[in-house]
Amino acid sequence: MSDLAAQYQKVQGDLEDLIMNRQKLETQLQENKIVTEEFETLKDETPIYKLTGNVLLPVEQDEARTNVDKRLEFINGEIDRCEKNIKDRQGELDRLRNELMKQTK
Amino acid sequence: MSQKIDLTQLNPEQLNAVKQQFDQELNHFTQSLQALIVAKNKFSECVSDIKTVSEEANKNQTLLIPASASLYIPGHIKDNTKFMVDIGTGYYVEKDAKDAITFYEKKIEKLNNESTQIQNIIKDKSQSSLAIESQIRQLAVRQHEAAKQEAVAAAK
Repeated sequence: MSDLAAQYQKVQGDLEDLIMNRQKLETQLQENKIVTEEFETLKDETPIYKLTGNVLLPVEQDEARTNVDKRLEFINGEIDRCEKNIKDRQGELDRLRNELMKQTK
Repeated sequence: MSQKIDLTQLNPEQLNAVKQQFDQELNHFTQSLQALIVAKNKFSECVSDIKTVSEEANKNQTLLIPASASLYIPGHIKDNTKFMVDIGTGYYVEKDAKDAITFYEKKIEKLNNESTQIQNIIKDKSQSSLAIESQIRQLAVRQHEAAKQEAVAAAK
């Protein structure tokens, strides 16, 4: 019984961590989306710089664009992975809850 | 998320739990609103800075460049119509004064929209929180009365 309860609590903690992770990813996704939107409105000759350490280095527009696109792709992949994990944990949590209920009856 | 719960069907412990949850959410939204306001002020400052620097009178204006928090180097503005704007995730873009101002004003407008949205949510949540509180109080009063009546009945 206490074993099951401990397991339940652990899964619950895992789930909370995952949800926090998911929120962080969402923030990153939004930030990167804003950047791509901004890239869209740029004129062709507008120079772009990237902050590397404490220095602004000039980068080509194409390079910057592909870089952010790649990042978006990566973040979306991470979000999918995270969502899947959340679903799994939720299923496990439901299963454990049912078992707990059965035992307390 | 927004399923309807009949408050009168809940017992005091459940009511307390619901109230706690609402207060937590309320806290979260108030913090978000605060963060939005801070961000908005920062952007407004940027706009007024751009306006000042790009004034005709400030061409070739001398200024002190902070090399560290305690060391400043004298310099002068070479071109007061070009600005480097941080568009996020470490990317900076060169913009002229007009574009830079529209960029920041767009951001401010977006933040304003989000602020009103959050304000509405906060209004809703605090109303619900108040409703729950009054329900808790009513329940407490009723329990108190019931206990009194029981005592009276026992005394007879």
